[in-house]
Amino acid sequence: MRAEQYLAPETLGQLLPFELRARMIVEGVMSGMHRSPYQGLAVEFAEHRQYAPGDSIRQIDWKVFARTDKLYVKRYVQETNLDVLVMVDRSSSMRYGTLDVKKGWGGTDASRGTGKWTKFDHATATAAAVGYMCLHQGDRVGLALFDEEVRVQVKRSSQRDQWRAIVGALSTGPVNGRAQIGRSIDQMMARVTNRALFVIVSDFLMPIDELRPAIARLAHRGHDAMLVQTLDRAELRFDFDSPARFEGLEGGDAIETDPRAVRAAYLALLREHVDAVDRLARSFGADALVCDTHESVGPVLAEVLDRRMSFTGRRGG
Amino acid sequence: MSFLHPAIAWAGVAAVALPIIIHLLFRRRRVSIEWAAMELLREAVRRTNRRLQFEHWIVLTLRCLMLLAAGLAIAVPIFGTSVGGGQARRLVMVVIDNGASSALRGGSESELVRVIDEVRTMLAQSEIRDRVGIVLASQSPTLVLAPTVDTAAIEQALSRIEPAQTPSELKDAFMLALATINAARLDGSASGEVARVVLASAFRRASLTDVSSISVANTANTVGAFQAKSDASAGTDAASSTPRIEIIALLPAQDSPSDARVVHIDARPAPSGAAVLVRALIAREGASLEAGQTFVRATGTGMSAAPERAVLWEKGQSEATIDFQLLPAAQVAGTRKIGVEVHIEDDNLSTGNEGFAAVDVRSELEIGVVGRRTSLDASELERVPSSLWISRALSPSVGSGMRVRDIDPSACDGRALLGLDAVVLARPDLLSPSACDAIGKFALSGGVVVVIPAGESIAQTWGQVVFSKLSVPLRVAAEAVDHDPPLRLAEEQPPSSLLSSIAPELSALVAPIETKRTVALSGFSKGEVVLVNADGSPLVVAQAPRRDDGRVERGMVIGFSTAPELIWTNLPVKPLMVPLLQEIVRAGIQMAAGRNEVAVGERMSGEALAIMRHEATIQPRATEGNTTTTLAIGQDGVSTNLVERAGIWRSDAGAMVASNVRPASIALAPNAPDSVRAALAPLGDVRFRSSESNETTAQVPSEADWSFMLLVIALALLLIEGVLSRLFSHASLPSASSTDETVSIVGRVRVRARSEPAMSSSSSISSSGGRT
Repeated sequence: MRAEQYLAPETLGQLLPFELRARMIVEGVMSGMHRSPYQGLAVEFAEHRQYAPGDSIRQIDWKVFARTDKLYVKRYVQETNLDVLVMVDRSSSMRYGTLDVKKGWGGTDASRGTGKWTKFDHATATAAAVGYMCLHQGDRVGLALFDEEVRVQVKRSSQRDQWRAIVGALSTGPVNGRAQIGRSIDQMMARVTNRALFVIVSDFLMPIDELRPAIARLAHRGHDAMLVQTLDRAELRFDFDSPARFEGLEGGDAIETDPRAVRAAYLALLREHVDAVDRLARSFGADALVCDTHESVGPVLAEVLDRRMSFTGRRGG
Repeated sequence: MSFLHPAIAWAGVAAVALPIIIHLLFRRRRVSIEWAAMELLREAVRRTNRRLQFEHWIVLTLRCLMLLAAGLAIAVPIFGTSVGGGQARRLVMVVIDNGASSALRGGSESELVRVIDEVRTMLAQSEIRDRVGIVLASQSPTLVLAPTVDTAAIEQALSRIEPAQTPSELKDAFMLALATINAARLDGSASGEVARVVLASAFRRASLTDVSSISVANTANTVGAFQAKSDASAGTDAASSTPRIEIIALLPAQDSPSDARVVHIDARPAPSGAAVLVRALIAREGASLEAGQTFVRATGTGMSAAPERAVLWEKGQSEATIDFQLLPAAQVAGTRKIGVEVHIEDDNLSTGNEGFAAVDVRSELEIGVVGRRTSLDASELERVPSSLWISRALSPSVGSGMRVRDIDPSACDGRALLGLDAVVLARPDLLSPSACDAIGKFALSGGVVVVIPAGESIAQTWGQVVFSKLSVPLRVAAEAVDHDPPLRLAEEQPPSSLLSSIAPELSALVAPIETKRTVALSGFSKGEVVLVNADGSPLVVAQAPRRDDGRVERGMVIGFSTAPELIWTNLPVKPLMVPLLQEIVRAGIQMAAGRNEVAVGERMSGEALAIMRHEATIQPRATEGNTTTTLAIGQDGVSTNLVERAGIWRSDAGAMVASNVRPASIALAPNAPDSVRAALAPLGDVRFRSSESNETTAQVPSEADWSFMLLVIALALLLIEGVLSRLFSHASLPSASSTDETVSIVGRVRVRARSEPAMSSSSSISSSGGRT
């Protein structure tokens, strides 16, 4: 069985319990990668740099001085103390899903009510997998569930039982309210003093102007960010074929329209929005991913690993 | 615009609501979907809303128009004018003369059939389907078919037309046609249509009788005046907007067929016995009045049929009288009402071949003479009172047919007058007011009252009281005047129906009459004088009682200016005395019984039906098929409908009225086209239509063309609607299973994705970063 097959939502749904599911995701990703993420992680020495006044003399490589009669300072790579903060959006809009939950699937309270694999289900799977993978690499992983503010938080830790704490936090709690991502990020940043990688899993269906200040503050504080935009396939395709009445999950007036008639305009707007999120992320040196809830979360993990390497590399440099 | 099938047109209009109803019904059935990306959707709807609404309206309008066009196509629209600038459609009002003369047969078919066939031909020659209305010109003109294009209805109406016995009233029929055109224009159904009035008649003399009464000065009845009025009513520019009304007349008949008819019947009881004397006036007309004969027969109800007799015509002779004596079939006593019929053999025009009369036959008349006699009355001839002379004159011998009852003035009341046919007032000066009242009622109930001056005195002060009670305007001078030398009667007496039976010998009978004393009469007209003196003063006048409103009542009042006493006149001892009194009483009784004859086309007055005055129902003597024609007499004493057929009319109470065709209504003399045009000139500019002319002038699409065009339009709309609704419904967009749109969202990013094999194998996840 190929790894990708493990990572399909149908497969994920059947891999119970949560722990097993997350492990399969991570191992599937790793086995499918040509270049192991472990390579290079064990290298402690990074480079030499010419001594400059103010540098600690403890970092001078005396062996090089003995050979070359020049002062060079050793540069090391920080190995294990990468802080990864996974923030999962649990606002009402994340309750949307169209993939039927089959018998034996796990999922969250959101999917239990509707029988659909919701965006929140997919987001929790993503968060659990990311957490599992990062913990396996010795990183400190923390978790926050937010809507209007941070509702549930798991402090950063690299302990073995940290992952269970994360899974425990993900599998419970209501999916409700309206997302206030800026406020939630601010709350998280107030508790993080060192640089960290913020993996924010949300549908990001909020105005860009609302998102921009939060991402900007993250960047200004020296944090790295990865925006995982989780959308249902129906949201991505808008493939309804009969007139319908659309009622907002976060309230507001209902809309009666013929989806076929507005599909093009909707998809164009969605594309603009995704582009805007993408541009916003890039403008602050962050990453943005679009994730289809009907598809695998493996590539997300691969991207996180890639980002982690990039993050640690920058920090070492 | 109107429709051949208006109901379908309305259905088509109603069908316009179907798309709207379907839209609303489907709107209710929309499924609800919980949705997360509401802001994006709301913005998408906002951006597409105007276009969507435009598309919806386009499709909805197309659907409505399609249904409307289909409905209108099936309903067969009728447009007033063509869209292509062709000639306007016409509103044709056909006035068909079905008057009494239209039954004239010129071969196997009647003139009416020929006229109707010509109308059919004329209508069939038109390439457009005119709106046709039909007015019958027989009295009273009737709109038998409102303007329509329904050819079946037109044909049905034409086929039902029968010749009437009532006279033609072309003028009134023409005015009715104009009124119909005006009404059609005012309600908008004929706006823009060219109006045409077709006068379908043979235009014989009978048809133009009423038209000739139109004077040019009477402009209210002309087309020009009507046109101006119509334009004014429509509030339009009279000169430009309202099409003219053209008058088309069929060519007048030019033949002059011969025809005989019964012009008049004079039927009266014989002076003695129960026989009825019938004198019929037979007339004939035609181009060549050759010598010949016409067989005539007379019958009466309850009478033995008289032997058929022949009128022997000499060449050029146009009138002849023929007498019959009808004998009772059985011995019958009392008063009887007998209907008399005179028939001539059938000829070219059956109408007029019968004549009818109603006559009262009494076995013996009861005459009351109101006077006072003394034992000395007969002792001296000079002193014999007028009452005695009158009694002797009325009943000179047994079997005279009259029985005289002497009534003393003091005993004259309603009871005393009961059963009398006539009353002679020989001493009006002795009548009490109550007696005057009783006599007045007697006269109004149909009795004959003969008023004689009081012979006993010079003063005549009774006049005002008596004549006012008798409801006649007669006045008598307060004092008698002696004449020396005595007055003589005029040698030539005025014609009077009262003395018509002795008219031939009247000049001889009046010659020896001398009048030494008279009392001046006034308050009469020239036609009411029965006998006149040589100086022009009346000797005898006859008047019918009148109501206050001037309406003539039944009854008869006969006034003498002299008393039949020898000190007044030598009349009592002259041969005129007996026939004079007997005839004025007998004829007076016939006339006083009421005008028991009515002309076809007139309303039956209540005078002939006094006892049935209120809602009386008169039934005809004969029934036609299973139907019985009835006439109801209104409270005003006049029938609500016209008498439409000749014959004997009888009420349940025994009243009898004869109806006869007016001779003028069957006058068959032809009229030249110029004279017809001149006669019709007051109506407007008349154009004759020959049978060879072709009236096809219009190039307007027919109803079938319009329907076909509308059907094509409906189909075109259906096609356009199908394409547009398919286009606007976005059903032609890529199917929902396609991932193109999804890929397009992320594909752009995939280009920037890293090229690691593991990454590139994932298709729907993209990444971007600022670390390149």
